[in-house]
Amino acid sequence: MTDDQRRRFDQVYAVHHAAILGYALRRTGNADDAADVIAETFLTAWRRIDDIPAGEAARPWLYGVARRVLANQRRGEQRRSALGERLRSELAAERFHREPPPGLDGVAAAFRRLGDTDREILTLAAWEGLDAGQIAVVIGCSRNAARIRLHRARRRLAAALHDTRTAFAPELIRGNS
Amino acid sequence: MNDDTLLSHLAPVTDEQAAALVSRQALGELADEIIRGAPRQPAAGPARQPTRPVNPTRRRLTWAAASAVAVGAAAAVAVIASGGQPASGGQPGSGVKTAQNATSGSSQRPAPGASTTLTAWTVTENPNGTLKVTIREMEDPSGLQATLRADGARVVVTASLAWPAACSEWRGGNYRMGDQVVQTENRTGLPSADGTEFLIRPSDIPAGALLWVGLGQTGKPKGVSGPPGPMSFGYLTANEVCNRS
Repeated sequence: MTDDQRRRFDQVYAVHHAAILGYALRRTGNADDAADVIAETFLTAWRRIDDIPAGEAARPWLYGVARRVLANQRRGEQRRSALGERLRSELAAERFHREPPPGLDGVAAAFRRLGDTDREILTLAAWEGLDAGQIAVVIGCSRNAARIRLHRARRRLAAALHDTRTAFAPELIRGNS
Repeated sequence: MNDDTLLSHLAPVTDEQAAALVSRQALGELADEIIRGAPRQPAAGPARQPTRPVNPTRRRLTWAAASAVAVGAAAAVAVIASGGQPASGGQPGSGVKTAQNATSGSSQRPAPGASTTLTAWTVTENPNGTLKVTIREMEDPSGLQATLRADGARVVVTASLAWPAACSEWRGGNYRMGDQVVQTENRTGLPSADGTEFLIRPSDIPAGALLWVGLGQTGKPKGVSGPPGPMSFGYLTANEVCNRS
């Protein structure tokens, strides 16, 4: 370990920990799982510190690691991390708001009707604010493939919104289809 | 309102809210545990792939995309830092002019009905000693830094989500950034109609520390101006080198 590597890790951690914690909480709503995601993600980041892209490109790289940690959790392949006990206990004391805001029940219902793949790519765009190139880094595909998947997912969401007869569909279709 | 905006309202928690849930002490302990306990793998080690391996062509494409993003971000920062030139649609130097107006202590709101151009950012001193920062366009971060320092806030402002290389993180205490120094006014994490707003309490910045405000642009198409995207806040160790950055 060199001082440069330590400084690099400190900077990556300080800049991106909130984004990774937010990513985890938005997808797990569970203190233990979220704590594991942030711990395992930054453990990987530390082990591979020289591979992390510079600047803001580090964020989608970290999301990609967090995504794999989450996938392992869901398959039951992730052991509970021994790291971050204090973080886990602080998160356990919080309650995460999970109900859709008033007036967006129809959007939430339409969103739930989509497949996992569509939901993931839509949330990467809407919740993490990523563009197609950044999404490609996260999910490990080409930029063009990410762009096509995002376009198709938006079309399917628009269709689902039509089916739920919400008032949002016309604006939605004008906005992004 | 487009679909991304609609879906953003369904997010159970924003990054900013997530960060406010845990203390800096807990985050610092985790970082220390990682560094103390984890041997590093060889730098050239391949990414762990739970699914099928990425073929060489796809890997090249993926990393080419990542590099393009990095170059684009660096170019954006270079433009912003090169003397306050607007990213688009403004007059050269307008951000600096705004800063000079902003420090005068008068009301920062244009008079109703007045024919004015919205300023890139304003800093308003509140009666309780807090400074309200409103950013409408990512212009002249160094001017914003100078304005805040003139108003008593020891800050480092960067036009990216990385603090200056000359600085290091300050770990002098246990605090929750969202509670003690910086309070964003829009708890949804989305820019309000007025832009991105937050409060700084200069008196609460710990001795020996500089408050770092990182203004990111993640998620915006290239060439699109406007308020910053994600923001990062933290404390940096106050020393002469960092103070000059």
